[in-house]
Amino acid sequence: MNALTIKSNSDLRRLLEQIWMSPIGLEATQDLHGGVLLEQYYNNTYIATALKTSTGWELTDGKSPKIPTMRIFYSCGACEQLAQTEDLNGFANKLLDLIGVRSIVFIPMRSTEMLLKAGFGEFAERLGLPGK
Amino acid sequence: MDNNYIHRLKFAFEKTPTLFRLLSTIRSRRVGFGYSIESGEPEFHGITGRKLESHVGPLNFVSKKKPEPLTELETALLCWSACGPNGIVAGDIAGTQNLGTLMTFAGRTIPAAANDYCVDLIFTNDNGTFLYRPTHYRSKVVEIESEQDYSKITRWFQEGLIQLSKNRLDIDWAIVPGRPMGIWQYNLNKPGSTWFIPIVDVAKGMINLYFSIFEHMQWLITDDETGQPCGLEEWAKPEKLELPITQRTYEEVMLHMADYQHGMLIQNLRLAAEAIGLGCWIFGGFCEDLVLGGFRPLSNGLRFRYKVIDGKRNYIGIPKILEGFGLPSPWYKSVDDLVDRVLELKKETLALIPYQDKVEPEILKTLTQTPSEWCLKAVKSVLSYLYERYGRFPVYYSTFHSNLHAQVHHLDTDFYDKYLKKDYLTTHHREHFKIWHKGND
Repeated sequence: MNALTIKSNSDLRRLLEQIWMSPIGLEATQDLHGGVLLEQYYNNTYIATALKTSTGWELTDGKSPKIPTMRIFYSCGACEQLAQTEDLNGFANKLLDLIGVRSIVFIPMRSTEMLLKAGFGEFAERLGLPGK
Repeated sequence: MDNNYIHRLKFAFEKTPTLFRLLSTIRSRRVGFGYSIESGEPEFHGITGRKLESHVGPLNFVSKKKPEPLTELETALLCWSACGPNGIVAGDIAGTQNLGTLMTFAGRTIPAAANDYCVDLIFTNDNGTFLYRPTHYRSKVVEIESEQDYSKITRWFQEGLIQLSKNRLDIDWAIVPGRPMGIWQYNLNKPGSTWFIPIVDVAKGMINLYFSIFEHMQWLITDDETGQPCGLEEWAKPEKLELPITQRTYEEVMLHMADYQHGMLIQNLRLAAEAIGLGCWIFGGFCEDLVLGGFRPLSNGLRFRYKVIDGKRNYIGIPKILEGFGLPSPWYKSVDDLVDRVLELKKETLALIPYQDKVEPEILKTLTQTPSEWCLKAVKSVLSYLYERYGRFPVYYSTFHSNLHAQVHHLDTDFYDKYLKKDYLTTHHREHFKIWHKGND
């Protein structure tokens, strides 16, 4: 992936598209079911909503019109670092690092049972994330 | 105070068996003065007048002794052991790590989550039905240090007793259909017996702990039916609410926390009965609705008020005496009222301070801090969400519960001598009347 510098919300939106719509991003999230809604924040501002579809992700600007399945908070260059990874292993390792320093924080908006039904168990297992 | 009282209190504190000895000998002993077992003889319950069916069996026995109620002193000692005042709790939670969760520093003989006093003790005997509610005032760290303090046991009992009824509960083994008090409880509530009934308010602790789980544990309470946050969406962000836990799971956790208190109360009471040489049996697995008053006219029970919502009875309490912290209720008009009441109660921590002077000012500062604004809003928001959506709080369980009881009585040693191998009674059982009654008027 090519690195991008974030100067505006639209830069970030493009970067998020790169992360989630890239082959690595699609491979990483292939276990998440259609309808899963991610609300994406950057430095505490709503940036975009990503809706899982049968073919990939559909990104729209701003806050989700309904309660999302998961909120993802990015900070301190987390998006850039994630976008620079070159394979699934690198993506998973970087994601773990970023979660470890809380540069990425996932906030589940559903009960554990609902998250498992939405495929987050398999998602975590594929990436070796804690809580799989 | 009567000399006999002083002598016997001294005996209780200084001459009864050690804890380890008690743990060795403790047994349920169910046969008391005036009781019977599978005698095959027609019998009418001495309180309710209902006919008790009895078939002849291998342990057939009819006590020849007249019922002998527990004395005031025996009852006071049992109540104190169960949940009486014992001093000031240590409060050794870090001031920076949610010390403010405590609702009071007034210690009892049983521990409690956040010392929330969610368990009360009711008993019924030949004189009526009573709530044991001794003072929350504590005069020192250890209230009973020496002989001079022993009389507090009876003073707390006499001053803290609230009569709920002039009558015993109208409940017995013979209630049909279905033996709702359990097939094993044949001698339940017989004349002379004292039936101890701990009552648990699970809602009180739930509200108090919401403050902790939001501000310090980052739990995001979700709706079991939709999976979505219960009115807490705006706080689902880093450092606020990050961990989804369903409301039902939270209620189960808090129900267990309350029941642990309940169980420890009963265990204390059982040990005390063993120390005094009284018979005691504990029992659960019965229909608590019958006891609380939800199965009228089978029995009036304790006459708790309740509201049926979606086919479930929510016992809300007894006006002015045991006003529960659930919703809906006649005493809390809104979620704000309810939360304000809990916060008001928590100010009791300021009345008794366990700390040395050098740290007291700083700790007092911690204790007087109210929950943060966002946390207070979050607590009110989750309660409003649940109440509006489900029409009740708690959603899944009744506010009040009572599902583990004990009956205490004077043992009829004849039964044990007739049917049991030797050693089932200790000298404290056999000499009970000599120690605890001789010289009584």
